[in-house]
Amino acid sequence: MNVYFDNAATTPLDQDVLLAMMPYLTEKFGNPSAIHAKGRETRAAIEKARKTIATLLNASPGEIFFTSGGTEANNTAIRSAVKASGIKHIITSPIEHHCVLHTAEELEKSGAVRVHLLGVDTKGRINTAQLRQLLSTLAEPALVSLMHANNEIGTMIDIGEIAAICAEFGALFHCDTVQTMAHYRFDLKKTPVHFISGAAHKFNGPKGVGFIYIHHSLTIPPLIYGGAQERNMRAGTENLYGVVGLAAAMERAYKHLDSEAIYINDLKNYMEQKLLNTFEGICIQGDPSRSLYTVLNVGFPLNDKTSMLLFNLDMNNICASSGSACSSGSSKGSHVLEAIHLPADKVAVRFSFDHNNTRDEVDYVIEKLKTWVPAISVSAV
Amino acid sequence: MKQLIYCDNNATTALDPRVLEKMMPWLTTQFGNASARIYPLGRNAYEAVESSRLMLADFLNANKEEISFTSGSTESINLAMRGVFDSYKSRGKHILISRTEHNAVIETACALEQQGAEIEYINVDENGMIKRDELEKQIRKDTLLTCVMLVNNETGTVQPIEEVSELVRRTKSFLLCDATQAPGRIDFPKLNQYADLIALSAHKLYGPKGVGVLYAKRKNPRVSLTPQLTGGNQELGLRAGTLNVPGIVGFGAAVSLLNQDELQRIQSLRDRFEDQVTKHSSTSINSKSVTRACNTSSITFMNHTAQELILLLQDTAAVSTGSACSSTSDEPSHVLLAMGHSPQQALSTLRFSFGRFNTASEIDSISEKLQEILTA
Repeated sequence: MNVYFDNAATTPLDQDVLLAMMPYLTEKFGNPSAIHAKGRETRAAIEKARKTIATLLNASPGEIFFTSGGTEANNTAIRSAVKASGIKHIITSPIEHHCVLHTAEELEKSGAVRVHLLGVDTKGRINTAQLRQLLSTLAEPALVSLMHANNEIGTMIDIGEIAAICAEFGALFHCDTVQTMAHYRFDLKKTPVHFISGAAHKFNGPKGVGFIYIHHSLTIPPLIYGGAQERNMRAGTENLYGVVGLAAAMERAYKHLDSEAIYINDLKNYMEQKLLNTFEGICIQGDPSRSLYTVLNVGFPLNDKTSMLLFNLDMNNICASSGSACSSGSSKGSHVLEAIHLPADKVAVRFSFDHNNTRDEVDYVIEKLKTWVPAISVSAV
Repeated sequence: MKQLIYCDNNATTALDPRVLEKMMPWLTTQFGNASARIYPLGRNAYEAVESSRLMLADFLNANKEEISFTSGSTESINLAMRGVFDSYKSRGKHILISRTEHNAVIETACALEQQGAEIEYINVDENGMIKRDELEKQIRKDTLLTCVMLVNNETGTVQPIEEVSELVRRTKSFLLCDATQAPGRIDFPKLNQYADLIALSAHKLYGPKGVGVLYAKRKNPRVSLTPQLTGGNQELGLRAGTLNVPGIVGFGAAVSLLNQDELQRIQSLRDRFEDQVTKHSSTSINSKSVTRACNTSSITFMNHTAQELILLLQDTAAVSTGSACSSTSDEPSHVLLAMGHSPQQALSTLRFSFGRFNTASEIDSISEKLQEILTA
């Protein structure tokens, strides 16, 4: 059996989404900026995709800008906000994705801003009192950048609560929603957030395409210059088939959102319960009361056999990860697990699911884990 | 819609079906994240990316480590220019760009001007060829970057990059060569001998949209760029973001399909077209007397505006006035103005750009239709 439990890294492209993309990989190839019929037909496809996404988010099409992915979207939000809005402070947390953290650090290094990291507890929860306190003392404009759900441990913020605090103090609010886009519903007319981001490949869409929502009250400079595309906000010939696939994947996900959320959440709970009932010394990372339903981060007791757990899972055709794929080239451990003080005697594995996963797969993984992880002794039960 | 004859290959090319075939596994079963190298699905994606990188490196006569994947040429150019400026601005702030560069270069230069860069333009002659004697005088000890494209997107003019390079090499300036319009249109030179930074895009060479490359020299001189998209460790830290695996695979496949014979075939189509069009009507072909891309025909008409002609041709052929990236504006082309055209002449110029999938009978149909319009 092959088991893919690394859907937070990337998801398989849905077949129907691919079908929607196919015309744009074949006969409909015109440059959307061209004035002839081949260009007009693809321009229409791009604008339809924009409208689809705007409608699903209850935003205006003018607030949606296509990018090459989540990293570019988050970079655009932060870098452009700093450039345009006279931002002098970035308030963020130590468990953000590197595309937020490194970008904030770069801006601090260049002298443009000061970065303030909020405290997080062992469940990865942000200290909102500290956020409030910080905002009340800062005299200069601030940008708050907090992720909706953590990609490694799944802890979520209350986006409405943070938005309200930011609004109270007049701060800009960027919410990295790459892990939650198309997995949760957003009503952007009611949520006072200034930037949110999406990457198609995190919800069964294609790689190489994403978007940024920018609240209509903001005018910000482009991150990439050189053409009139995306209303001068993002130059470069559009990734046409990608944009079409992004919208198709959003539509697909929204159509099944409620049932798939329940299904995946059940699957996650099933695995969590089974792990806790089967093995000794398991701890689950994150905040059980507010957790991304696609991510289950499990701490296994460290021993000779579990120290090579990911490798051994791989040998048994099980795909899981230790954390963010983006940093897997680096020799450093996870900055998220470090920030939540994962005990040194645990080995963390992130299992992340999508609607294609099954209980059979979970059972298979549990069976295999028995090879390396000590089971609960009968007397302990 | 009636089948249009596609003559806008400089705006974008159709994806070659053979390229799509190579992409398909990566759009279906092989969906792994190329950074997730702990399991085969991720390793396969990683290896596919690296094999494409090797193909691009071969094409550019470069080392694998010098090739970074981006979302397209525009991003590559932005990364090159801003990356150089951010890393080396203490060395100098003088940037030279030719007047006929793509807007990706011009607008990035304008943005850098806001940050203190001193931008100076290099003039071109009536054929769009860079004025080397002027460049020689313009280039200074503190020139940080010189930007000269290889093939102009509107006229097909091929710049003498070797000579430009010689002049630039006398100083410490880096040379950025936007080569986006060159592959499949000229016999591609060993460009890395001349340029320190090279930008390419897959969708101009029968590959997919949304993927490009930046070549950055690693020695003699080494160009250390400041990343513009920060986050993960992808592309040796130069460009963060989950890799567009199908796009990158498509880029490699598209580059490996480029061939010499094709250039001659396309050139003969282009020449046939120009012969037919100029035979009976008063037109002039831009940059005809200099080395030109084999596929591009920029024609200035005497009695018709480009807008009129596009309307009259709209059921026959897909053609454009020039760069698609700015075609929504009604301004005359900055390229043609730089070559000494009057605004009116510039607004009476059409660009026909042919490609792999054009046929001789298509050429005959367009020229016939064009004759009909011009003699009406």
